[in-house]
Amino acid sequence: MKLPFSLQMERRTEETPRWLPVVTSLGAVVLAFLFSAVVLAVMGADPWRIYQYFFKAAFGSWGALSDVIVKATPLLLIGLGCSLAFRMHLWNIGAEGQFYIGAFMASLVVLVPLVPLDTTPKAVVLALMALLGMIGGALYGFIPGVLKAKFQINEVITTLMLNYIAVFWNNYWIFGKYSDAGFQMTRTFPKVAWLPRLADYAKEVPAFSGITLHLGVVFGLVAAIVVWLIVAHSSWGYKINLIGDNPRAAHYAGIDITSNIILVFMVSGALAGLAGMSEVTGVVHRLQERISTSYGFSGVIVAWLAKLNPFAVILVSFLFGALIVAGREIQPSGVSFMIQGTILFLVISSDVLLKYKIRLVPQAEAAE
Amino acid sequence: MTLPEPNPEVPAVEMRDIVLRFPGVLANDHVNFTLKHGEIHALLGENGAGKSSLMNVLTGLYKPQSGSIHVNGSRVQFNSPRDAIAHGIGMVHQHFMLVENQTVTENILIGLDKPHFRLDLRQYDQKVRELARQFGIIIDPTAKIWQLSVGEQQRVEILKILYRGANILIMDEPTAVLAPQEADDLIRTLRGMAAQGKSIVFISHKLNEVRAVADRLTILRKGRTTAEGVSLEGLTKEKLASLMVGREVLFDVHKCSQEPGETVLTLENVSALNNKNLPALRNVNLCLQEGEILGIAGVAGNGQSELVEVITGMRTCTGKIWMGGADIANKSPQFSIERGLAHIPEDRVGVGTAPNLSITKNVIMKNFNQEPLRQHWRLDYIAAGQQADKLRQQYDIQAPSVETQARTLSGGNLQKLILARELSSQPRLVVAMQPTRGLDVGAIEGVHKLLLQQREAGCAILLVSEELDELMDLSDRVAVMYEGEVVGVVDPKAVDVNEIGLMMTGMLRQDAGCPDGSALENAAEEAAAPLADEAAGQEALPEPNLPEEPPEVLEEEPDFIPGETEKERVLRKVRGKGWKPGGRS
Amino acid sequence: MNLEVILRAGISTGTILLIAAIGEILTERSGVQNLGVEGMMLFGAMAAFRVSHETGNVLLALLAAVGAGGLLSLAHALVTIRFQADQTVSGLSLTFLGTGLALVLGEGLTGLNVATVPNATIPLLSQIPWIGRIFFSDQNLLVYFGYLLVPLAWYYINKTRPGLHLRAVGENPAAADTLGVNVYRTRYLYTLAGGCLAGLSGAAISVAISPGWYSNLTTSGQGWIAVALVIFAQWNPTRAALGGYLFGMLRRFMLDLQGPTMLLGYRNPFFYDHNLVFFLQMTPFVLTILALVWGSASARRKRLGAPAALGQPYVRGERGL
Repeated sequence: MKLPFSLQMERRTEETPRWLPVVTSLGAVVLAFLFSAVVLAVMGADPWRIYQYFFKAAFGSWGALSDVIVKATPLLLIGLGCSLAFRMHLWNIGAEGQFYIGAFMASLVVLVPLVPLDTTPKAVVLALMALLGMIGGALYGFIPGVLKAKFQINEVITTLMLNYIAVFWNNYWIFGKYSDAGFQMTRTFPKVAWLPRLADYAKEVPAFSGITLHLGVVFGLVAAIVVWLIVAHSSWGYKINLIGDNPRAAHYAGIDITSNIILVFMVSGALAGLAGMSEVTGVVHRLQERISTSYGFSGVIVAWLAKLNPFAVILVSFLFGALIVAGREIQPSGVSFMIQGTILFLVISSDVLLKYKIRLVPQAEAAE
Repeated sequence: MTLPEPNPEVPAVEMRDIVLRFPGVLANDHVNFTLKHGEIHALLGENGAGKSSLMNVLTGLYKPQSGSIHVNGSRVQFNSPRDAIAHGIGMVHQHFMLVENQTVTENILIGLDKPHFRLDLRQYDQKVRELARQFGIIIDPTAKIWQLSVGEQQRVEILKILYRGANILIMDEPTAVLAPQEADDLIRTLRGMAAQGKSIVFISHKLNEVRAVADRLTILRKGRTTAEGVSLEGLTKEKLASLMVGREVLFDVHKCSQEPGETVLTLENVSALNNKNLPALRNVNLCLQEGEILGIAGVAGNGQSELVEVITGMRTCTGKIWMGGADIANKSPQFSIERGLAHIPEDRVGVGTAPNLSITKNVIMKNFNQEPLRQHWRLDYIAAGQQADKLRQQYDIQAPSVETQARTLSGGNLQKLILARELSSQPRLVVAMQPTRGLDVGAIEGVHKLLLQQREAGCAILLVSEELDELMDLSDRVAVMYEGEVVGVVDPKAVDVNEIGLMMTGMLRQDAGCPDGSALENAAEEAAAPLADEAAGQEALPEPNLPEEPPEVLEEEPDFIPGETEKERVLRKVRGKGWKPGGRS
Repeated sequence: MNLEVILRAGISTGTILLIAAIGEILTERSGVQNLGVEGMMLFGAMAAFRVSHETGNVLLALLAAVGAGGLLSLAHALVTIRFQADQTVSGLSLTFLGTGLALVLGEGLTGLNVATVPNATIPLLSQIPWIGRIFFSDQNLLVYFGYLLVPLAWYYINKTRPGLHLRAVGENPAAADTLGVNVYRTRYLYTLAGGCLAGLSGAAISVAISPGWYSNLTTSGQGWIAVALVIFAQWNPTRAALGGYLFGMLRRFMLDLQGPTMLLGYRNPFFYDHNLVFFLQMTPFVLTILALVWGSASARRKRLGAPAALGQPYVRGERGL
């Protein structure tokens, strides 16, 4: 097909306009929805009705909104962790595994138990669980980190493998020692290990009844601020940015790249581990086989779509939370997955525009 | 694929008025180049002068914006390397284009139409053997590339293009990676090929080889020809040296004379390997004092990069490097930075700056971890911005603001950024590698001024440059490097440029040493003992010679011992000069 | 615990991994890393199942699977080769996309029975004692296809001219480019081939070896194992096949381990504590990590290990200052 013009890509020599990343991200989302609408139409469903339902399911009521935030919380934490790792081009796809291990370690407080549950105050129990969750995630992030830093082993594969290993590890304990009467879950945690929810205050504020919004979202928001402070205001964040932009320059400037790789992986893991703790103490209140609906992978997409900006991560995780909540009730069931995948794909395709200008060159000129 | 018979009346290749532009760079500026049949034509010029680009145009890798190419008298248009190959043009690149884990024959067969499908290597091994024999090249076609020495790999590259029936061969810095004996072999081979009617372009820096191999030469400077098709017959080496070095005196440099102070940097018996595990530095001894500029002269590839890397902690070595009372050899860059080392790297873009970060963030690369920018965990970006702004004005960096990304800066401004960063920290020692490469006259002047200012303030400067003029103007002393050794340290005011040229090409050698014996004392004691104490430590001097002795002319090269592999020959030669193996950990 | 049974099962399920792994070997040998195999596998499985359901024609179903995988890999190729996007992230996004598409378009297929690729017994070969019973009796046709694919792939890569170019492009694209090999076209081609094979391996699951559609449980991570298998096999088709069979055997073995009360004369821990099987299930993944560690240590020299240009977009002679 001979077109009268050809598209040429030219490397940008001036600065990328500030608005362009936002536009490409937004554009990707819109296009993804359009594409999915086409696919749904092909399947014989009515895409607009489905999208309307999406909207209602996600934003139609306070209860729905609270569900969205609840779903967004782990995405927020994981997205933040991934955004930090991605700044250094460390592809932490293992957030899923770190999430599970974090959930496990946090649950140990209740399951072993590590402290006397009837006398320890709630704040202490929860703080301990949060701490252990982060430690668990950090340790699990340490493994791929050190393999990458010292042996240059591809962290994509190691983190992916570790994801599976984490699930099996958890299963061993859930199905075995800590199983609740032989069922595939532990017994429900005692109330002292429940993250406070708005529903807990239903007596004082009747409007809160049934609202599942829990403290985990505060963890997420605090984490966003911390990550922002690190990236934009700390000297460690400066090192991360420098290593990510030009590792040779970082080496020339005297920065130790190896230890930073490990450290960033551990922090990224800690945030995912905290998300795991938040999920078991705030939502399911027990340790069970499935505690994540692929939060780990969605978190990767969230980080990418947010272009690694901590505050954008808040927004995007909210959007994706809405997708998950709405998608729960939609037939066909894979719609939110499909939309997420399309969004990511379009985002990375459009990233090319940040580096290159596309020019239409009339064919006569091009054949020179 | 039959090639047309070369017509001896017409030049083999004629490139007329070639203009080649890349984003931000004018690589070839209306360049003319002619290659006659059966001649070896040398193409000379410094890095970035445009020689490789010009030849890449000839091989079809780049398309020029304007100009024309004529092969054997008829105009041609190359849209891809395949077209050039079809016209009998082949290039042996400086960085070999070989697939390391494939055999010689496999590498030669890449891109060819025959064999059609089945790869019967044995049959082609035989063909390769015969071709090699025809041109007197010794090679084992079944060997894998990683098993071969550098010289042998180069021969594979040559065979690659001969196999395709090339009549026009382009050799890009072929001897840059070869030991002297291998280089002689290569030159012999090339002469043989030229005698058989091949036309050869020989891109090089090394003057003695150019004289040994070429019939005519062309010199490029900053994208333009400064000498075109000059015949080498009757060209004395002095004339050649002067043509190469150029007689452009651009500007006056005001350098006040001053007494150098205490020794800041001492290199003791430093040896190191380069990236190909060949010796790059051999027993280098150098010293540098406060308030002096020590220039390092030498043709590119004689160890200067490795010298800089070893001092700045980016390469391992044997021997000791004393600075500020500590041995900084084999330590991290941070170690020497903390002791007052500033490094202006050769590669502005790849090493010296982070392209997507702002000017501010680039400027604070060295001192972001210190007061006043660093407050506990915080980095005071506001103060950083102020610092950056001040430096921007002070060093006249042209940019809309200090928040613009570094990659939008021009080469000159980028260099100013790096200088601002490195020099503003009041360093004790500045290591500057090619600081004015690719800059225009005004920028060069600015850099020189800054360096001299530092010198006056008592800083010690190690200046590595390919511009001999620059070195002569700025340096207090000039050390000449050849094949990883310091072959002489001269006073630029007293010495003749051509003498330096001869040293650079290995024809002349003086025993080098430090100006005063006490400098080679254990520098750690220096901090305590005053410098005036010259009596102590005389035994430590490895080179007792004083410059009154007549300079030695280099001995004959050792004989070729039959049955020796390339690697063994190289090692033997090297060991003969007192180098101890095991330099690299 | 019958060795014969384990071997048979191993070869059967191993074929799935083998087909996908060889596809990925082709892709990675050209220098492109495709992490979207899992999504392409699932998409292919769904496509085959649906087409088989709607048309009853198994051959058409297989073709549909090949096309499905190919389509997704084309997107990956475009984005990574032309747009020079990061290959890792692109691959991941395609996993998501492929999975999502498979789930959406596969709606309503669960639990259906469709026409499948039949098993067969090879006449003469199946009479070889012991070997014949395992390798050539009553195995799915696609298993036999796998037997052929391995030596074919090996021969193609190592002993043919296009194979030479494939390897050259993955090791040193600049060298191939200067000799006139079209690097971009080569990479497009082999990425496509890899995607098609990934789709086919998905079909091998849903309409051949483990027939049925169970939405995203159909593949349950085998795509990822295939990608890891490529590294484990050091980019060699024969080793990939052996590794695939081994992994298949391991799965079967793990099931069988839980049966007997005694194991080698000792109390069988897996019988008395069924949950220990989770550690067994970890084994393939742990082994992969160990293989990577071992691989990187012993592959310091460039003649072993990944294609040198793997994961790096090729830009012809981009010169800066």
